Amino acid sequence: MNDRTNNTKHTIMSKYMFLFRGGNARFSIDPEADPQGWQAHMMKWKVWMDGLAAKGRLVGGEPLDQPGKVITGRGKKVTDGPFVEGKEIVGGYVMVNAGGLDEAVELSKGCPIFEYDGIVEVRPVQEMNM
Amino acid sequence: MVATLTRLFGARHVGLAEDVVQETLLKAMHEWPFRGVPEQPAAWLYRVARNLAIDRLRREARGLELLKENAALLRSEWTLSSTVGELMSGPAIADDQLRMMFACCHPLLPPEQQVALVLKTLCGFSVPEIARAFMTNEELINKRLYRAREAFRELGRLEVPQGDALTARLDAVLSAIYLLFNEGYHSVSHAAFIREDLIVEALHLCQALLDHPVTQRPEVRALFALMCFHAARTGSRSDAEGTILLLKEQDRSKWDRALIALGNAHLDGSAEGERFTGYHVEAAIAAAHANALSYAATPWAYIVTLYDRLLHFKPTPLVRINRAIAVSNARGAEEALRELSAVDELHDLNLYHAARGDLLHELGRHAEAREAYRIALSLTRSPAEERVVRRKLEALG
Repeated sequence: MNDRTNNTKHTIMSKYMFLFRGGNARFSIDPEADPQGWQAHMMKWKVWMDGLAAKGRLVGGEPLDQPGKVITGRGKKVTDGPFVEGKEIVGGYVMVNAGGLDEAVELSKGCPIFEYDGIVEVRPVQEMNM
Repeated sequence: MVATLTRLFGARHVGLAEDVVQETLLKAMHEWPFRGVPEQPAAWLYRVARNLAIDRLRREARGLELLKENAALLRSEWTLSSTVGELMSGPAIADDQLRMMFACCHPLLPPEQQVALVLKTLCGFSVPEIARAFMTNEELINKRLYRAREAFRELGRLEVPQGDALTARLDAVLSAIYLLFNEGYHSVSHAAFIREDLIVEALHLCQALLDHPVTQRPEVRALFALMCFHAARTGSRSDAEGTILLLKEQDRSKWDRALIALGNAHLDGSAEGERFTGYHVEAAIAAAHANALSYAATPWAYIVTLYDRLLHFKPTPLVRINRAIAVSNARGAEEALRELSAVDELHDLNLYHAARGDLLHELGRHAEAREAYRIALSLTRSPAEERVVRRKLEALG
């Protein structure tokens, strides 16, 4: 289990977020009608994230459900949302530790979201100093 | 199932694993009477347990200290259900059972705690059932289990040891299984002389070791063979009234031939490999009896040589007494009596005096035989054994 912690030794790690847009597998696989297909798909997520965890890179993450609410107008206006369409809907996120943006991009490869034409946006967590 | 869930939650949370199993069984008790027993009850139970485990993790994962290798996966909805699903699949379950068996027999725990823990976590016995099996009160069993769980908490993780450590721990596992079997086979503490449930559990556990490539070892096969030979005779060891029948009196047509054949096959298989253990010798002795056509046709001289070898592994009073019985059949009661009397450490044992009584009876020294049986009676604690000695006394007239 040592390989899960040791990789952080030489490089300074920062947090990066993978924002997933589109690529919702539920549009292609119905978990009720095809439980095995769905299971196989979720297993791919497990394998990918287990790989990140094994390298000591996985911080956490969750898939996001719809619908939600969108709050605007200085917190006064609440509407049903999200109001963007299909490909742009944020469907979840994963946080990782990486030694730089390039490495974070490298880590995103193999993400199952790509199988359903999803988009991964890799963004560094901004360090807010006072 | 507790074993698998403990693997999932971590050894620290055996209690949580037991809760989930309890909840699963409650659900079955509520649903089965109305909807009928599902076609695959085991699969149903595992599915329900899996879903309950997922619920618990969903609600409590942040507060639980989970095992490092799966903590992040159990805390994310991306991976929670498939991680639990994978851990609760067929091959993983077999591994968990093995791991749990090895954890239960950790050298930190004294043997009686090991066996109590095995019965609770692997055989699904309730505390009152374990207390009954060992003729003690529930409070004592609860205390044993509590201490064992404390020790588990210290361990943190369940692992099957490797290399030499595996051999050492496997010995502890085998002796716990044999202890369990013996408690079932001649229950000193129980009103019913034979406890078949314990015998069956011991055979199951040993079979689980045989099914796993890591623990398919010659000594495991030897123990399995030994238990097969003994178990084959279960039905003939007492009469309709529950009185013990001696080997000489047993109806050999009632012996389970299939079990004896299984024992023979495993005994043959146990010969490969370098390790030669007490189980090998005991199994060879049991095989000589099980395969003999009658008491008279038993190869007694050969059995005496086997007992000589067994004394190297187990120089116990019981082995000496059994050897003396073999000697009396091979070379006559006189020599057996001489050898038996030479060992001082036996004199507090009821079985020693009962065996002496038999030998004296055979030699026609009836007064001395009667005296020996009376001492045996004063020392015995088992009602079943007491009846045997009384019968022998009556036979003397």
